[in-house]
Amino acid sequence: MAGAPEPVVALDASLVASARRGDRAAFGALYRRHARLVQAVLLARVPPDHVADLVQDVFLIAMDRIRSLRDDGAFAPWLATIARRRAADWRRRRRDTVPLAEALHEPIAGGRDAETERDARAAVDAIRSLPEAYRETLLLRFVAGLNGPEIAERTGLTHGSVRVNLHRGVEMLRKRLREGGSHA
Amino acid sequence: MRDRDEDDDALFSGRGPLPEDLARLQRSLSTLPLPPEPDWSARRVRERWPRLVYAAVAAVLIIAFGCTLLARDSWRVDTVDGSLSFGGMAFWGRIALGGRVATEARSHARIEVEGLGRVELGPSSVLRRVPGRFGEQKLALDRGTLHAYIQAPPRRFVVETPVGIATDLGCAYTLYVDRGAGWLTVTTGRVTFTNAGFESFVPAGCQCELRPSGVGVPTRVYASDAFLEAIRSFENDDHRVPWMLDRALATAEASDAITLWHLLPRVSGEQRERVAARIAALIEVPGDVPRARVLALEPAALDAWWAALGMGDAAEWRAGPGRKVLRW
Repeated sequence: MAGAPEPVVALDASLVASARRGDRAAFGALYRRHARLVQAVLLARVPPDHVADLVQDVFLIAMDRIRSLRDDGAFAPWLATIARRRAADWRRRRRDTVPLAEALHEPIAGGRDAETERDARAAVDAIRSLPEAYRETLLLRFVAGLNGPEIAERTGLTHGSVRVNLHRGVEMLRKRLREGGSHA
Repeated sequence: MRDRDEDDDALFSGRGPLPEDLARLQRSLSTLPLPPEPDWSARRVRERWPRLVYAAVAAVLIIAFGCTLLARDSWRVDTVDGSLSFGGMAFWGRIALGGRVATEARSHARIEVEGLGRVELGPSSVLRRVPGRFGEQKLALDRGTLHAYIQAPPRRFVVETPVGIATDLGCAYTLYVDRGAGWLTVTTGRVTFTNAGFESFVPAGCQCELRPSGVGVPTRVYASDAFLEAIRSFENDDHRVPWMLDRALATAEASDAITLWHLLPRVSGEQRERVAARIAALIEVPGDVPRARVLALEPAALDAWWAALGMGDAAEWRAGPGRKVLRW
């Protein structure tokens, strides 16, 4: 889990400044720091089997546009915004082609043991079935590993809203998982 | 047993262990695979050149569109003698709105006024194309000589000078200005000239001196020398030499009544009375228009006397034949 926000922001700002000057290693560091954030934002909006491609898309867009970022310290919220727009764009284009239920039942990944994979798929399935307000908050918490204040900083929500979303979302998730017979 | 507040604090702040079910959930989700990290060094940042290209293409299109518009609205300028110089929106021997053409001491230019006629520019002249009112083509003659041959409907062609504005009513005329003075000679048709609150109706065969204080009265080109000398002296001395007026009135002929009519608003008191009396003696003025109204410069009375000169309706001079006439 990330530490205090200030050093995180300062490190981001330093990496962004380097990346803007063409330092590819710095951009790679930004990718490794924030790939989970992008993954969580996308998982809240698109079927999991499309997330991997879109994560790369989002970072490529960010790489192209990093010169337009005005506040180097705001890289993470900026990246999350790009991810939301990319997801919305994907949904517009694929609105009538990929049924959500079908996509959810495709394998999430290969090479892991079956139980872990089944658990992860079920968890994602359950979170994606929650109301939209809770999905991203829970995925940011459990996939990206962000705490409440970090989620608030990256989403623009108040601490109170994040707290409520986490609390109510977890309660609903527990109920769904109990109903689904796993994780409870 | 864990306290509910502790669970909530661990969930929100990340401090302390999560409840077992959520910890298991987090472990499970944290194993979700990420896509392999791209080889960033192999990635080319999308260059900005496409934007520059788009901007350049857009600029070229805008310029081409502007040039097309300018070319459509521009007038051809031919060099008759010597050489010309162009300025502003003038190029490739054409002059558009905002353009300027100047002749040298021995050069002449001919300008085709699209759809209206032709203008010839004499030596040492400076001519500009300036915006006119709707449907109006306007030139500004800063100095020099301009010969206009216009076949357009009245009031479509206007020439602005430092000493007033010449409005064409369908005619040929020559206009000369230099250092705030000049003259206008109408060969065919009619021209109205306005400046400093005075207006002159100048028909064919008449000329008119232009002066900064106000346009002069038109005189017949073939008026007697005595009349011309007297009227010019009277005007040049700003009406301060009364006997010049006496001489002008004495030498005036019936065809000079047009000059005297223009003199009415330019003189006052007893001089105006004598001018009016002389007009009435030279031509048959309307009997139903009291002379007092003429002396009071009532527009309708003046227009009635103008009509008696046989030069057409004064209102038409102002609005042009066939156009809506605003009656006084």
